[in-house]
Parts: sequence; structure tokens; C-alpha cells
Amino acid sequence: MIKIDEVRFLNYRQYRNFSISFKDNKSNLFVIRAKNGTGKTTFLSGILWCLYGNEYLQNEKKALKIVNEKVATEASNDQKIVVEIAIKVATPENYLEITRKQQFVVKTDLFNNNKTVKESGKSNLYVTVSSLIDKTNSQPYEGVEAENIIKQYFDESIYNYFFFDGEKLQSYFDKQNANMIQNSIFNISQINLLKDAIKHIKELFKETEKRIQKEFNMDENLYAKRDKAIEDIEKIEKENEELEKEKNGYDEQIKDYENKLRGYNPVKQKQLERERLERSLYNLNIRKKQFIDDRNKFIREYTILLNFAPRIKKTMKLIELKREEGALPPSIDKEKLQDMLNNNVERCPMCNSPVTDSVLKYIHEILQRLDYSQETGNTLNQLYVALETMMFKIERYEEEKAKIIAIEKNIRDEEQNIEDALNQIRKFMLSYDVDIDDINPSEIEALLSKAKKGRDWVVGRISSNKVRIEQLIKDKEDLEKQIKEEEDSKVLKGKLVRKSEIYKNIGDSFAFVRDEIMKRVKHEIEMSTWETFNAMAWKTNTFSGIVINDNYEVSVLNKNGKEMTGSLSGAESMALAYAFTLAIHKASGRNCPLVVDSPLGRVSDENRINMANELLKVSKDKQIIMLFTPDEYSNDVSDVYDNIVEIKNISLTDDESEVILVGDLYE
Amino acid sequence: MPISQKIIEEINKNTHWSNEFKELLLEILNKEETVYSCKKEFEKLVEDFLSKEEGEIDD
Repeated sequence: MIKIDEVRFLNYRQYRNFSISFKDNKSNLFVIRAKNGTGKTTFLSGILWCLYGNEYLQNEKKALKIVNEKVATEASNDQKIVVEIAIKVATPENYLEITRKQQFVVKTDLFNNNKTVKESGKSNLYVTVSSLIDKTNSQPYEGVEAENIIKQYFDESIYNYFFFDGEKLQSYFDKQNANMIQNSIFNISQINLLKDAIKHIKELFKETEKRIQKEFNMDENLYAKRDKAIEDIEKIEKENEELEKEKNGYDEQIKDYENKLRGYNPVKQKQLERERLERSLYNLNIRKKQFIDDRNKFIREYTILLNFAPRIKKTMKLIELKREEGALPPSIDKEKLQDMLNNNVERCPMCNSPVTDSVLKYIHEILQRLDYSQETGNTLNQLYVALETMMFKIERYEEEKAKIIAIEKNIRDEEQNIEDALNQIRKFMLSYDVDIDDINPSEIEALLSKAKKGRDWVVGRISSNKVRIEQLIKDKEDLEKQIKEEEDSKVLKGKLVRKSEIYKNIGDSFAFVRDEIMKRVKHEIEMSTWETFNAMAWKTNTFSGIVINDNYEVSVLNKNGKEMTGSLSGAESMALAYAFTLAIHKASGRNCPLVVDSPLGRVSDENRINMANELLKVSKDKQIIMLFTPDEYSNDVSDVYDNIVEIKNISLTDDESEVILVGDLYE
Repeated sequence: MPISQKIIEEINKNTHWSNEFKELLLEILNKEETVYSCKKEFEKLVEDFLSKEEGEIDD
């Protein structure tokens, strides 16, 4: 149970220096009795101001400042007054001392001696949390931290379910209050916490899903492509193995045919000549290959040079012009010349010649003409030499081109001559159709020619296959690299997919828990409200239950299950309000005290006794502080409470400036 | 504010959730209640949960 042990006021409205204890009593029920206008409602406002910095007055603008009038009147000009209210609260876990202070300053009008009170800053909340066992072990809090502690026990959004005016209880069922109640219940039962967690988890889930879609656009065909490349390489390599064998076969045949021709005297010389020509053709082909490389290099080089020739010429002319103007420094550094002038040297540091006046004059003239630094001059000179070389090459273009054409022609002619000679030998051989000693050169030549053709085709095929293999190996390596990257990213993707699954599971689980708790809390409030209402309402044959909808609007049902909230009497509405309030207290999990002004409101007759009895029952495990006027605390009520509850009578002093505790108001 | 008994009860009721998963849910709610930039903390908790899960698979 959470109990208010003591409330202490300093300079607060009529409560100038007032302290009231709720510690020692036979029950948890306390009665404060005060005549109208003597600070009964102000007591409640003081508690609200202490906890929330807001008195929740009906007409705040027209209300007086909270400073005690007499204290303000007695104060001198510029005197500071501190208003302070402290509430000591005992909870099952610890002991709280909640204090709010605000400083005011009094200003006196020197002409008419009128005094005004002004706030000197905002009010400040302080909460000291002490251990129940050792009160010296305490921790002070202020500002937001202190407000958070108050929120845990007396959530401001439902303040009027802790501290309220019995005469206004019916208005607690207004729709706008239902929203407030719903929100507060969601806060106290941590449904809002679950909702926030769901929201954040959903955001993380969406972010992860997006990342998976963006980063892992997997190409599932990579493996198939890689396997196909390997298969093709193997196939072509196998084909080449076969072709090599075929080539060796042709080589054997060729060798055999050539041996035969070389061994047959009438054609021996021709065959030897052919072999020589073929060697020459082989060497010529090597030269031809080298020539083609050189020719390509020549084309590339001269394409650039000829394209840039106009610019090269222009740049050279510009440098020449600067040279003519003497704007480029000589090989001596400009700075060294300047040093000679500055230091009045007698001899030249470079050549040791005497430095006469005419020499100095000459140096002075040179320096005036020099526009560029030595470094720039050197660069321009180097550039000029390079451009000169280029121009030299450009000038030799026609000559070089003629050389290339001549070499090409020479190779072609030589090639043609060899081919012609070989053709003649071939024709000769083919025409040598004589069959002696089983050797017919013509037939052998035909077979040789066929074998050579066959071998040439095979060699060509092997060579193009090798190019294909090279390309396929490169493709395979690229694919393997991609596969490695994909596999690495697959591991990462797997992890992200699992992460997003977990986020989804967490979100779904929280949503499930949230829905269950919402149902459970609503059901508990429904049951608890019905239990208390049924006990407080004296009619036994009228009501059948209470329903609370998802928006926390309360309905009372009659015996036929029809809503009859609008038809409740004043006393029944009040009973419903109490029942609902106590149910909310129960749902919050914190058994907070109730401080009620006019707790029986306008309830009359036997209903007053019934309700007074019911509140007494409730007070067995809940602290209830009730504020009555002497009239409200009628004989029938006192019959229920006297000898059980502690009655504290408060009254104003004779000058009506402050509240004090007095004996029995009827005495 | 500590996580309410009701939430703990509702989480524990679900016998098909593993104890590790239930612990993860409670740790996330604690972070939501106490940490300002809770999303980063959530990610860390989920990553720790996943690495524990991976460790178990490896074992």
C-alpha cells in the first residue's frame, strides 16, 4: 500500500505554516473536516501543485497568487518569499519525500503602498528517495528525474483518479476522459512501451529487408556458366589432343613422302630446292611478322605527330618569339644576377671576371627584360628541344613512309618469288608421272600436297582452339571470382535473412503480448469495477454487469443485458465512479491513496451509509483521505466512522489569514 | 520503471518460445524503457542472440 504520511505547507495560500500527519490511526481512513471556505479544496489543490506544479483550478486566471496573503502584506519591498509544500509518502519499496518550492518577490508601490507579488522563477520539484530500513541512505532527484518518479506513482494524466472532488465524479465518464484513461492505462500497464518497441522493431525489419533486396541481387546462373566454361575447355582440349595426333600423322606422312622424293634421283634436286625454299619462306614469315609490328608502330606514331603538327609549330614559334624578345633568362639564374646587383660584387661569382659599371648596367638591363623565372625558362627550352625532335620526325614522314612501303614491297616480292618457285616445283613434281621402282613422284606429290593441306587445316584448328581455350580460361576465372564474391555475400545474406526473421518474430511476439495484456487489463478493470459497483449499489436485482469497450468507455448493463448508464441515479453514478477509479488503481499495480473532497457528494438517505460503509471496507487495504464539511459529515456518516477514523478539524484563524488544526468543530 | 509482472507472465506463458528468445524480448523491452537510441541497442541484442545461435549450431 502507498500511503501519504504527512503533508507540510509553507506560505501556501491559507496554509501559512501547516503540517498534518496521517501516520497513526486505527484504520487507513482519515477525515479532514472543515467549514466551507476554510481551505478544504485548497488542501487538495496544494497536493496537486506539489506533485504536478499545477493546481488544476477551475478559473486559474482569476485566482490569487499562491503566496499567503498575510505573509505578502507583512513583507517589505523586494523581500523574497518561498512557497513550499512537502508530501511524505511511504511505498512498499521505499520512502519518498516530495517537495515543490517556488520563490516570489514582493514589490511595494511607494505612492499608495500597494503590494504586488511576482514569481521569481518557476517552481522546482525535488524528490528524495530513502531506503525503508535505513532512512539516512537516500538519493535526491530533481527536474525531469523527479517528475519521472512522480509519474511512476501518480501519473498526472489520470491525476483526478487519485485526487478528486466527489461532486464532480460523474464527469469522469466523458468521452475525452475515456481517451485519457485509455492512454494512461496503456502507460501504466506498459502497453505503450510494447507499442514503441514494436514500432522500432518494425523499422529495423524494414531496413534489413531493403538491404537484402538492394545488396543481394544474386545471379543463380553463375555456377551453370562456370561449369559450361569448364566443360567447353575440357572438350576443346580433348579435340586438340586428337588434332595433335592427326597433325603428327600428317607430319609422318609428309616426312615419308619427302624422303621418298629426296631418295629418287630424278626429282631429288627439286625436292631439296623446295625444302630450302620452304625454310626461306619460314624465315621470311618471321621477318614479315616483325615488319607488320614495325609498320603498325609507324602508323600509330605518325597519326599522332601529323595531327599535332600545327600545334607543335605554333608552340615552337611562341617560344622562339619569347627568346627573340629576350624574355627567357640565359643559363644563369635570374636570382644570382639579382644577388650580384644587390651585393655590389667586385668579381663575377661564375666566371671571376671583374664586374665593372658597364657590366652592372648590362645585368640590370637583362633583369628588366626577363619575364620568366629560370625554372620556367629551362622547362620551355626543354620543351622546345622535344618539339624540335618531333618536327624533325614529321619532316621525315614521306621518307620514312617510302621506306616502309619499300620494305613491304620487298617482302611481298620475295614471298611471291618463293611461292612461284614452290608452285613450279609442285607442277614439276605433279607432271613427273613415271612409275619406276614403285615410286611415282606425281602421285607422291599429290599425296604430299593433300597431307600438307590436311596438316595446315589441323594446325589452324589447333591454333584457333588454343585462342578459344585462353578466352574460356579467362571467362572461367572471372566467373569463379564472381562466384566467390556471391558465396561470401550469400553467407552475409543468410545472416541478414535470419536477422530479419528474428525481427519479424520479435515484432509478432510483442504484438501478441500487447494484445493479450490489453485484453487482460480491460477484463481486470471490468471485473473489478463490477465487483465494487455491485457492492456499493444497494439494488440487487437491477444490474447484470459492466462492459468497458476498447476506448475505455464504461457501460452498466441491466438484467436484460441492455445499457443503462444514462439512467443511473446520482448515487449509482458515484458508486460507478468509485468502482472504476478503484479498478484503475488496481490495474496500475500501485495501490495509491485516494484523496477525495466531498466523498459522498450529493448522495442522500441510506445510500450515504451504504457508500460510507463501502469506503470503509475499501480502506482496509487502501489509504483514503476524505474532506468533509461539518454538514456533509452528518450523523449517519459519523455513526459509521466515529471511533474508527481519525478526524482532523481545520479552521481559519480569527483574522482568517491562515489555516490551523483545531479541536472538534462542533465544540 | 521495471518491466511489469504482467508482461513477464505473458511472455513466459508462450512455451513454444525458447528461453533465450524470451530473454531477448525482455532485454529489448528494458532497452526501450531505459535507452534513448534503443534501435542501435536492439540491433546489438539481436546480433548477440544470432551469434549465440550460430555458436550452438557450430557445436
